Amino acid sequence: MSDYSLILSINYPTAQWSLSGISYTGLTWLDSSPKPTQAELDALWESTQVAVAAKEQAAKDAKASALAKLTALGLSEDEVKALIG
Amino acid sequence: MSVSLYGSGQTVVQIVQSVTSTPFSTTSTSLVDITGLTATITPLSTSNKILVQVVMTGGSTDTVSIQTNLQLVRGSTSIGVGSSGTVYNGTTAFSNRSTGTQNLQTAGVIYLDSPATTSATTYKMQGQLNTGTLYVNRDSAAGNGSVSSITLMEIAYV
Repeated sequence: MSDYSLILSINYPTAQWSLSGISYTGLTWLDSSPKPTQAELDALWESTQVAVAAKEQAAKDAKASALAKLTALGLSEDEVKALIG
Repeated sequence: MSVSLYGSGQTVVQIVQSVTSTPFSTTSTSLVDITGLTATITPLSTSNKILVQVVMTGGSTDTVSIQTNLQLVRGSTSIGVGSSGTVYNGTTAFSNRSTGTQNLQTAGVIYLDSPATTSATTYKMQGQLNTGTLYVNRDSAAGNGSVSSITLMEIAYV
């Protein structure tokens, strides 16, 4: 089932809306732009999942890169954890 | 749910509670009602006080610059709000995200109000944020669900 909140957050980042519950019927469109239809949002679900996964992977990669660079500078593992968790 | 208790001294004479597990999310920069976090009580006396207790769980998208504002409202009047904020002056808030974690956060309110009425009085929570998405009863990835509640206790001085 589509996560309409996630779809809207990713694909309509500047639009204002409220969603009560998890179904499209709970969507209140507060924006001046046209309200997307349920079909339009459902069509974006797959690409949204891909985008979210890519964003999460990018965050992991950035953390790993930062860890490697800090370790190369001579910081201990505990010191790195104190900095970036 | 509503119960009545009678005794001497400062006594709880009425309790009303609303509990919701309905996920709610919004990107509104203006205050909007948070679904399910509304409760109405009809005080027995104008001199009685209402102890409002709210427990909310939720969060926001993982952007460091996000400021959230959660506000307690009686009728259409905000009550128990701050005064020193430069972005918002609310009753409470979810903390800013500093990392990409998606754990639920908790925000609470305990406020003793003096509505001075015997008419039906509605208390509710409203929310807004400056950017991103505000979540209640879920996290940004919908990996965690939770419940939130608002409890009204009428206190009589007998």
